[in-house]
Amino acid sequence: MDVIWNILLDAGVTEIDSIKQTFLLLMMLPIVSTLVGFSRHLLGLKTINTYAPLIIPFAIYEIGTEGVSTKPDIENSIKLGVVLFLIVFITTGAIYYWVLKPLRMHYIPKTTLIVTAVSISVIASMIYGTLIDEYGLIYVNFFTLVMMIILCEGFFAVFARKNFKYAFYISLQTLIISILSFLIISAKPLHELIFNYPILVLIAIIGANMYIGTYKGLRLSEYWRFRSLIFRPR
Amino acid sequence: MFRTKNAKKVLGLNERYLEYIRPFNLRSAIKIADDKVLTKKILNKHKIPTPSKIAIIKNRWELSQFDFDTLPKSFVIKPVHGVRGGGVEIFYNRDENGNWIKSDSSRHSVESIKHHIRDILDGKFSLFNQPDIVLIEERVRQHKNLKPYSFRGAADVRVIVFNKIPVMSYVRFPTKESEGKANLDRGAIGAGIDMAIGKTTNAIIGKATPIQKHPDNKLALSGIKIPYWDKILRYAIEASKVSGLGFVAVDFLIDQDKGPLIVELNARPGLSIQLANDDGLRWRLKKASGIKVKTTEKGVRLAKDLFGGEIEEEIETLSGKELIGIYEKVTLTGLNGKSVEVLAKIDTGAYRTSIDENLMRELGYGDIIDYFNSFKYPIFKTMEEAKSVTKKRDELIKEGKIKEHPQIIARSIVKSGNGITLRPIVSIKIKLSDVQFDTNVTIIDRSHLSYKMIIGRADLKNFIIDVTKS
Repeated sequence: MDVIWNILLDAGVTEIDSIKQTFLLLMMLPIVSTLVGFSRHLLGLKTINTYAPLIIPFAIYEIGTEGVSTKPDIENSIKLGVVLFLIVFITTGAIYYWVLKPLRMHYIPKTTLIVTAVSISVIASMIYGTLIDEYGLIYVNFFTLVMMIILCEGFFAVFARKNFKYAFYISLQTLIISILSFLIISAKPLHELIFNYPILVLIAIIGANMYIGTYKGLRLSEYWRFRSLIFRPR
Repeated sequence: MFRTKNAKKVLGLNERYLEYIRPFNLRSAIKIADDKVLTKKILNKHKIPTPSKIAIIKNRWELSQFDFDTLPKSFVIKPVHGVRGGGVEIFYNRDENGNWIKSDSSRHSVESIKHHIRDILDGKFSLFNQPDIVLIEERVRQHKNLKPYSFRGAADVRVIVFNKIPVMSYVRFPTKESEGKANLDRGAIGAGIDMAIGKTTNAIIGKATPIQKHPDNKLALSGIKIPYWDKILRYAIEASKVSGLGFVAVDFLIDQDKGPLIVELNARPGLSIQLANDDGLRWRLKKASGIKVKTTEKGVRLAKDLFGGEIEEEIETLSGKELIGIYEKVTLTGLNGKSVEVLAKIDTGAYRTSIDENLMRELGYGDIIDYFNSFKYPIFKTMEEAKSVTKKRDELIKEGKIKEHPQIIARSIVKSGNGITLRPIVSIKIKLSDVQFDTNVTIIDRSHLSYKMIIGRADLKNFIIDVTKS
C-alpha cells in the first residue's frame, strides 16, 4: 500500500490520513457484503433488503468517527445507531398501519409520505434529546441521517408484502447482522491486515464468496426448521 | 457444513436454487408460471383441464362493454396479480331479481359486482396498487370426498414434478383458523400423500406442528383418499412438459364432475411439503434425476414405484434399473450392420434369450446357421440322448476332428413342442428400453410362434418387469 501513498504524495496530495481512511472503508464494503452473504446462505438469516445490512454498519461507523467527536467510542455509536434504526422502524410501522394502509395510493407518493413522517420524527427526537441532555443525535452527520432514513422504504415494502410479525423479525435480524458487521469493521487488527496485506484480503474475499456462492448445504436455520426430519432416530 | 444421514434427505433453499430452479427452469418458462392467464392458455392448448375461463376484463372500457347477463349462475372473480388471495369473490347462485349470491348468503347486484371489478382494475388488491386485470372463471365445485375436511374454501392438491416424475405431493385443507384459505402460513392443514395409492399419510397445521385430527371436526387426517389420483399425476407430468418447467409444483382443485383442474403452476416450490410428508425431498429428487422418462405413463409408474410408501425399503435395489413390460420393442443389430426392430416377449421362465432363425438370417447370420445345420443333428427323444451327442461333439472339437464356426460361442439343448434339438448360441447387439448391450442368444426356428424373440433371465438383470404395463 505504501506505493500508493507515495504516488499520491508525489502528486502533491495532502491529508493522506483521511484518504487512507476512505481507502480502508472502500475495502470494508466487500467484506461487509461477504458477511451478509454468509449470514443469508450459511446461517439462514434474512434481511429486509440487500441495501440495509450494507449501509447500516457504515452509518454506525460514521456516527462514531464524525458525530460526537469528543468521545468516539463503539458503545455510543451502536447506541445511537440502534436508536435511529428504531425511530425509523417505529415511525414507518405506525404511519403505515394507522394511516396509509387503507388508502389507495401510488407507490412513490406513499413512500414520500412515510419519508416525511420519518424526517419529522428524527427532528423531533433530536430536539427531545437536547431536552434530556442527550446530545448524540444532533451531531450526527447529514448523510448518515439520510442513509438511515432511507431504510423506511425497505420497512414499508416488507409491511406491505408480509405482516408486522415477519417485518419485526427480519428487521431484528437485519439489525443484528449490521451490528456484527460494524464491530468487525471497527476492529483495529483488520485495519492493519488491510493496510499490510491488501492482496491477501482480496483473495480471501474472492475465495469466501466462491465458497458461499456455490454452497448447496442446509442453512443453519434450516436445521431448526426441519429438525423433526433431521434429528430423530431412523 | 456437515450433513448427517437424515440431513442428507432434506432439501434446503440453497440447493433448491442452485441445483433445481436455475438449471431446470428457464426464465421464459418461469414467465408462464407467473402469469395465470398464460398458464391457462398453454395448458388448454394441450388439452390439460383448468377451471374454464369465462371472461377477461383488462380495463374500464372492456368493463363497460361487458354483458353481465352472459355470466352463468356461479362464477369466480380473481385479480390476475392478486396478493395472497385478496379480491377473490365466489358467487354460487343467482336469485329471481338478478342478484348473485355469495357463500355467506349476501346478495350482490350487477352494479356492486362492477364496483368490485373496478377496484381490482385500479389495483386495490395488487402489490403496491399497480393496475390489474380481472379474470372471471367458472366456480370449481369441490369433490364430495374432500368437502368434510375443507372449511368454506376448497382443498388444494399440490404435486411436485421433477424430470417428468412426480416426486412428492400434499393436499392443503383450509380451516376456520385460516379463514377458508388453503395457506399454511395462515393456519391451514398440509397433509402428505403416498405417491403409490394417493392417500394422505401424515399432516401438519400451520408451518410445522404435527396434527392427527382436523381441528374443526376431529376427523382423522390420515388415509384420506384423493379422488382421481392417477389423473392428477398424469396432468402434473403433462403440465411440466408443456410449460417447460423441469422442476415445478402443480396445484389442483378437484371438481365433482370435471375431476382435477390445474389452477396454478409454481416455478419455485416451497419446502414445507417435506414437513407435511415427514420426509425429505432431496433424496427423491436425486433418485428421480437421470432416469429417461419417455412417456407420461412411465412417469406415473416411476412415481408410484419409487416414492410409494410400502416399497420404500426396496428402493436401493430398484435404483438404476429400467422398468419394462411383458412385451417390449427390441432393436437388433446384425453382423451385416442391419438394424431390425422386433416385438419381444419377456420370459422369466427361460434362462437364455432366443431369436427366430429366419430373422437371424436377415441379420447376416445365415452362414453360421447353414454351417451348424450341415451337421444334421436329429430331433432327440430324450435329454440323455441330446447330452451324449453334445458331449461327443465337444470332444470332436477338442481333438480338432471337426472345426467349430468362429462365431458360434456354444451349443444349447432346446426342449420345445417338436422335441429336443441342439441349437447354436451366437453373440448379438440388442437394445431394450434404451439400454444397449451385447448378449448371447440361441437361434431357434420360431416361425410358427407369435413372437420372433423371447428375452430370458440372463438379459434381465438390469430391468424391472411390470406385468401391468402393455
